[in-house]
Amino acid sequence: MLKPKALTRVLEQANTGGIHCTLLLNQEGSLMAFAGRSEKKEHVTAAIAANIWMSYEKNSRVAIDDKSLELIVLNCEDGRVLIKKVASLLLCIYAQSSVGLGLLKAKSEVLAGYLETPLTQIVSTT
Amino acid sequence: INSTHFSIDLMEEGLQSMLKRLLPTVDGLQCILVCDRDGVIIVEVHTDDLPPAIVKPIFMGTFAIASEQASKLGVGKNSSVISYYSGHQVIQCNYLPLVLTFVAKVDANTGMLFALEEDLRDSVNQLRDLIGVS
Repeated sequence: MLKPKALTRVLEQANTGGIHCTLLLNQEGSLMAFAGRSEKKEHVTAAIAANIWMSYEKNSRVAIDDKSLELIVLNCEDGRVLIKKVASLLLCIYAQSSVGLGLLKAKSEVLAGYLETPLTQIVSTT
Repeated sequence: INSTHFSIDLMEEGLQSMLKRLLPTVDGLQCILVCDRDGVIIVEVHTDDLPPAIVKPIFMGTFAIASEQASKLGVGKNSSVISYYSGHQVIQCNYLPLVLTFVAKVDANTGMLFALEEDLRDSVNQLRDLIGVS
């Protein structure tokens, strides 16, 4: 069974050193879990992030032999947003511009690695 | 109108030579291209080992819509999108209505690719301004 509080505590661990918030969402854009500074727009964020992921994944299938989109980083004026696939869900991390790309990627890989097995088990039993 | 078109042709030639010169400067860099928002290529250079399907308009054209949506995420206007695949990375930079794209192997140095973007900034902006005028 998925323990929402435990999941939120895991996501919270990424929110240091310039990282504002961490979201877990499904590929349809529904928010599964959120940790960080709430601005009441998390659901909108989840929907937009999922939409961007799906666009790139769908359009890259015809273009790139690799067949597997692994990570997207959106660099914006006031921050970065990283989207990474975990099991069949999406991990989304918001960070300030000052957070290095390498550090952001490293954090996402550690978090995704930690969540992969339990989330895969949950997805396979539902 | 004719003199503007002549200027655009000259600009494209100059940019093409510059891209050719910069292509070998980063290990793993396979393609540098400038396209419009629909993915139609304006200027392009690539190595022989580039999979040709990567530069299809259907993929290149993903950026424009994604960038506009990313600008609504609450962190300001989107400047670039990096997408990582198992063997490649694609960096697309916002010069809308133009898009500057780098395609490289996944282990290429992303920081150096962004440094190349800085080198190309003025030229791509000039091309954008010229196209905006015509």
